[in-house]
Amino acid sequence: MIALVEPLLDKLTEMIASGQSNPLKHGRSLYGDPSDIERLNHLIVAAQPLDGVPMVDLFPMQSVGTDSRLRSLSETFRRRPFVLVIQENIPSGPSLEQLMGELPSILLDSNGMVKSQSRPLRDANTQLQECAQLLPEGSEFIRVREGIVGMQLTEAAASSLRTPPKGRRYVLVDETAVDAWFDIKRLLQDTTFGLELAYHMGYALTSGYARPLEEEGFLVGNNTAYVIACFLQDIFDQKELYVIDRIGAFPDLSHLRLSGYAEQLRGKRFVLVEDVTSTGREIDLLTLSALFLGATATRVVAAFDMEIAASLLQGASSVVCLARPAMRIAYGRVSRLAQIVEGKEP
Amino acid sequence: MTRLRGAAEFVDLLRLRGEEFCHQSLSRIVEEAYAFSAEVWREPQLYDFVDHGVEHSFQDLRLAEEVLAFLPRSRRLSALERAILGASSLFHDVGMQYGKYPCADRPLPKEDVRRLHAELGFEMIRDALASTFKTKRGGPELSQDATVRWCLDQAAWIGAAHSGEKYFSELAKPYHRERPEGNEALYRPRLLAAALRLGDELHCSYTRIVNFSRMDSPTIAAITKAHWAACYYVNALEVTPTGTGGIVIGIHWRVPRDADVEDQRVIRILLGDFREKRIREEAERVRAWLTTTTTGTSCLVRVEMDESPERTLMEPLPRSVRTYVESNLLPVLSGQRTEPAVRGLGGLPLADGGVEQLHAEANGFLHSGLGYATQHTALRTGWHTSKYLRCRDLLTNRAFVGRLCQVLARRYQELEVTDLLAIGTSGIRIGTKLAHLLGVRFHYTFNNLRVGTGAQAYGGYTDYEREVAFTQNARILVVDDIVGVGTVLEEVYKQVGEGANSGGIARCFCLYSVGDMKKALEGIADPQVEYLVSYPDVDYTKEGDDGFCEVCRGVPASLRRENERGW
Repeated sequence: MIALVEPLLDKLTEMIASGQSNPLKHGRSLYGDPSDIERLNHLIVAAQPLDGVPMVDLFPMQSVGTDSRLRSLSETFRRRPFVLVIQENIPSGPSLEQLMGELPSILLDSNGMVKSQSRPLRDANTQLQECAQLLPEGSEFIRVREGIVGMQLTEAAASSLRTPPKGRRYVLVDETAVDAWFDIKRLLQDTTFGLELAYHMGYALTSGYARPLEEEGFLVGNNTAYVIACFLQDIFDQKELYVIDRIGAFPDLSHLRLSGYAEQLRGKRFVLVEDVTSTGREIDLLTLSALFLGATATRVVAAFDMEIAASLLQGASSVVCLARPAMRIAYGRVSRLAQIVEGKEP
Repeated sequence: MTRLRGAAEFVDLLRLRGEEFCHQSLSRIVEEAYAFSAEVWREPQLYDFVDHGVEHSFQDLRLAEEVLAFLPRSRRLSALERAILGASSLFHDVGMQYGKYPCADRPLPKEDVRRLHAELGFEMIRDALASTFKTKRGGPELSQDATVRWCLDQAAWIGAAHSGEKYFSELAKPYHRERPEGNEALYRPRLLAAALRLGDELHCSYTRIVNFSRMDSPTIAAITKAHWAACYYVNALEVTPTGTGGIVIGIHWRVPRDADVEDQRVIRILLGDFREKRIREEAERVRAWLTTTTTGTSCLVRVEMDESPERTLMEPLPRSVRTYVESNLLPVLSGQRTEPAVRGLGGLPLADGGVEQLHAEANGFLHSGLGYATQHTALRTGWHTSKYLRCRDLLTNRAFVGRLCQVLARRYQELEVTDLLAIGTSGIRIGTKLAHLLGVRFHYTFNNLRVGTGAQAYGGYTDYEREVAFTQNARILVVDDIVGVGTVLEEVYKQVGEGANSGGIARCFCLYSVGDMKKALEGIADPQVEYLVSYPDVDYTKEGDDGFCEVCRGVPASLRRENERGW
């Protein structure tokens, strides 16, 4: 089992809490001062899984100091194994080869493709071998990382699963009924989880924060997605964020006339942010709402996709999803409420 | 307290003479911590109501050991644990003297030092262990021996965990089970942190009070003053093991000799609502960690207060303090109804430049032409307004939201809230960030408040089964963007403030107060509402059963369009 260690998320958390502007820029710049290494030490120890290794994702960093400070991680490594994932061109200072010779590392090119593995990784024990096998030369680190994140989030969803009393169903706002659902609101009671979701979303949208976010901002259609999007805006603090609500069971956009939204959104491109997508209906409504206001929804990022159906207006390549937990949590039967009420459902 | 306790007294209390760990004398651990703490507390800069220095450390330690007396002989503290506990008691409040050793880029006012002292102290010790405390901040040094450093580092973590949740939660992580390699000495950091934390709470008798004049400070929250006022009437605390794996905490209280029945009753309420309640809460909080995981010994903590107090020849509270307690605290405790406290943040003694700037921005936005629409609008609460405020548009300004939340976090840190409830979409915008800064659980509510005829406005569709699962005995901060006539807030107080899990709503904050909410809140006990901007120039009219208000009905039908929210 591999546990991700995300130094950039850790730095962003600290900067956002202190109100620092442009946290993404500052967080990705030179990494490796004494407080970074000390903190990384703690993160590695804290992330240690029982039967696996932590994988330290330094791919988003623009520059990593490799002098004695990063090498001090050798001390940590002697007590507990871990793997560094790092871009080949970002270590600054002497001796990338020395680093590769001392610590188990996976080198990536700027596109996130695996170029090589260090000798300590290749010669390593069984636990580290799992990393080596997962990321052979030529493989795509971001895809592998997506899988790890997806599993983690799926487990989180499973931990919050709720089932109704026997013989009853939960009814969703669009009059579909389900046997079970996972309570993402409960997960979001812990705001660090919200920030973590936003971090992973940003990672997926920008290929590991390697590319700039082209859109002008984010658009959401419900309050739960709004919670996550607030953290996204903390990370991308130069971007805008708007909420278009009341597009649920009975869409009502008349309130938009009373706000100044139309002026602010016209001509801009947005990423739609969803907490959970099931049928894709809300994505479609939000896409149309944006169009109504003169804006364009170019992409969608969703934390969870329950894979019941897909959006009609956003192609598969436009939709990024962090986790697909439907199989794991045995997402319940979905049927129309009307059929149940009329007694037509078997 | 006139005599400074020596390091030897700590060593003797902990029975460390002759004990070693990794070839190091364990007495040395305590002596190092003592030397550091004694130097920090020499000529202290910040006095609070109560003593936080070396004597307090000693009493904490004594009480922590008494708390742990329930452990069976085979699970009693090892010598290593006793040494680290001793060091942590000496370290845990050194942060109160941050002002003597400030970081160059982080000047802090006294109130922030007091509030953040656990974290500040942790950083001070960490700097000393990294050998930078003396060179960069002029502070005392700590040993650089590897074993001593490891022990003192652990003591720093345990000491920091005595307040708040951050370090307490951190101690659960695997790192803190590590010991220097090759040594099998018993070491249970969470057990030590729990004992120290409870010991700290139990050191709360009148002997600890050193500076009553602090009661006059306008910048300290009333609830904090109540805690310390309650100390004055505590004669002593006693911790007794039950013999069946638990402890009994006995609160012995005192009253002036000439106290009458009414005085006694009032003091009993004060003690019960603050001292006793707080001890119970702390005991409950640490109980899981007092249970040793290896033997399953569960520590049951019972808190008891004397039936009859000791009548002592004692000075009554200083007149200014007594007046303050009587007029500001006791009416709340005795359940007397008070007029709802609705106040603007700008008018408070705590107002700082940050609040004034925010007020100017929010007020400026309101009158900018974008701040509201002069349209007669039907709200979902069963009221109609003459102006529709575009609060949401203001909140698209991320920088404003960030600064607002920083200011609110500084203010509401004092309240020691555990949960935050955001009302509506705009409430979420503020509440998400504020909850993150405060480190509290975040909730929001939107559809499940059924107010007046507003329920019908939702279209009548079925909603999810809703629970707002607050922390047990939650102290709740409520955040909303706009409060008008207060019907939503009234509903929140009734549904949430008196809910099964609720410990009460500590405070409500709204960005704009646009109506007279006091009438709606009259039936609520002690509502405390604060706003950033008051804008009374909004008229409210009640919606009738036909969906129109008196203003709507005065408009020709041809101009009045159905199913729209404004015209």
